[in-house]
Amino acid sequence: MKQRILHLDDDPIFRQQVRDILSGGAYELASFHDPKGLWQSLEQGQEPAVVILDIFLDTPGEDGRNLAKQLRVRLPRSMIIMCSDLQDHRTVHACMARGADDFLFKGQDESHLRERIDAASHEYLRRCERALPQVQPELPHIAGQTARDLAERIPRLIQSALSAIHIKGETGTGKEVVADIFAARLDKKQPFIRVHCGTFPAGLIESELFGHVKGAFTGAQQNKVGLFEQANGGWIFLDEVATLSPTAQIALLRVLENQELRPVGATVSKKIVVRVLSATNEDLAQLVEAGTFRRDLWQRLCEAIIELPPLAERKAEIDELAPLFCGTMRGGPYELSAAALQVLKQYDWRHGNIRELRNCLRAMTEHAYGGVMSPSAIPAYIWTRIDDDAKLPRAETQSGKGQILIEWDPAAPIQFEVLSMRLLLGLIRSCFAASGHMTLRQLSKQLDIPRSTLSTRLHSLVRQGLIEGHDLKAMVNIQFEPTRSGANPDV
Amino acid sequence: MSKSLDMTRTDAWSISTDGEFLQATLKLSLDAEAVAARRQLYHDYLAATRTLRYLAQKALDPNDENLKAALQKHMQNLDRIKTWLVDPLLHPDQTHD
Repeated sequence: MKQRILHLDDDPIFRQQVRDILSGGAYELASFHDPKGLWQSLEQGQEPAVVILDIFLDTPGEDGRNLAKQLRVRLPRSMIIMCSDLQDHRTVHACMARGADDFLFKGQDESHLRERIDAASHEYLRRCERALPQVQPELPHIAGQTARDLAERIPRLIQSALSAIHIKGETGTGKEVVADIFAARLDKKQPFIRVHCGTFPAGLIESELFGHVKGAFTGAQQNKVGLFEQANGGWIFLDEVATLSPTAQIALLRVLENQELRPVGATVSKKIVVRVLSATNEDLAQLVEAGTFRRDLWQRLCEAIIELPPLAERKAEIDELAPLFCGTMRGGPYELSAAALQVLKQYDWRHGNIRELRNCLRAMTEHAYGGVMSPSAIPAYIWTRIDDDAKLPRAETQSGKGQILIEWDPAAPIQFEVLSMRLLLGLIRSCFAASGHMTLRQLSKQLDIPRSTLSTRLHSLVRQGLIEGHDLKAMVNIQFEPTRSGANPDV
Repeated sequence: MSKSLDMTRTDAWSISTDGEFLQATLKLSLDAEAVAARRQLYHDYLAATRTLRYLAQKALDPNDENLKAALQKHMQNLDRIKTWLVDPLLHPDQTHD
């Protein structure tokens, strides 16, 4: 079937010129001298591959720029080409801002005009192929059980009534990959707008998110459509949401509560339908307790939570992740030797999780002789950390069973105070095994012991000789005061 | 008279003689409406020259019924430009204030 091209121009001579250019039968061309004819044709015929619009129309009604804006909504796949005898920056920019895909300068030679129209037609075919309904397309970055589980869960989340979903996970655990899966699983017509909340200056965040009207403030020379309005009918992804200022939090809360926004300087609100995906590597619950994040906003954002565990808790996934990275890195594909893989699985990856793993593999490519990365290519800091971890005391817990073993000398009298200190030590080792190195504050939260009390007891553990100071410091970040005798217990 | 119409008036020009030279000054309003009108005039000029080039390349008949009206419009636009921009320079004696 021939591709359909619609051409609107009030100049009959240019209409004829386009007919000449497209003669040869490859396209079905329909020309119009006014917008009315174009709209009627759209009602009746098949979807056009290309719509060529003149910008300045002498005929009454809308000009080409307004038409482009309307057609963009009506024909999301069709290629819209604006054309004019003017070719200045301002004209081209105005067209692109209204959703045009290309701009043609009418004065160019005919072969060039033909090439551009052919290119637009090919691009239309590509868009159609992309938009074909596919049965759960396999995304290239899905590797590991966690990502596969999410790829199954996310369509259910999208189909649900949820309007706000929060992604929680340490840095490098794959929050943006989750957003990618969301974007890929959405209906192609639904917008998915990504916003990194930390990138906006405090004074501009409202204008960026909600837009502004001309004259709202110095420099607001024209109306601006905010990111929330752009996401209308779809999703907005608020990355690093914990960095939002208190003012922005209040404004965001208002939008989420009422599903309406008021651009800066506007007198009336606009109704919108936007669903929110947010992410942060900080514990929002803790920020709420600390008073730096609004409790009501936290509740609105966390209708459902996607929790991404640290890589240390899913080391089996390194078996899939590492080959994926090795296969796609520049200069590759590389191969990771089995021995190197085993070494990498001993490392805890607590500083950057999957991102740290990817960076480590990139660093290893420097020493990938013959494309194979052996243990000798592993950076020195990984070896050092593995060695340090091996020297740490083994936790006295039996993980998975919820038991802590407490040993004492059967010949000595059983004293509650001594046993409670040994229990505390067992709990610390258990927490360390689960979470890695902790701050005093994190540990006090986990054990639900006031920080000052915990600090005192940690000092007692060392004083009583139940653990060496440096071993304790390897698990908990604590500074020891010099003892009364002047000796430092952790030396 | 609106500032936007300045461009159609020959009195936008100030022409005088300076010894053996002709001194011509063109005063153009920076009013947004006037700027837009000049922009439109430039657009019309480009459209007219493109049309004439096309007719010449294709050896089309300018009296063709389908083309005649459009061609006349383009020629009128060229006449406007001639009146406003070219005539004052070539016939300064008719442009003195």
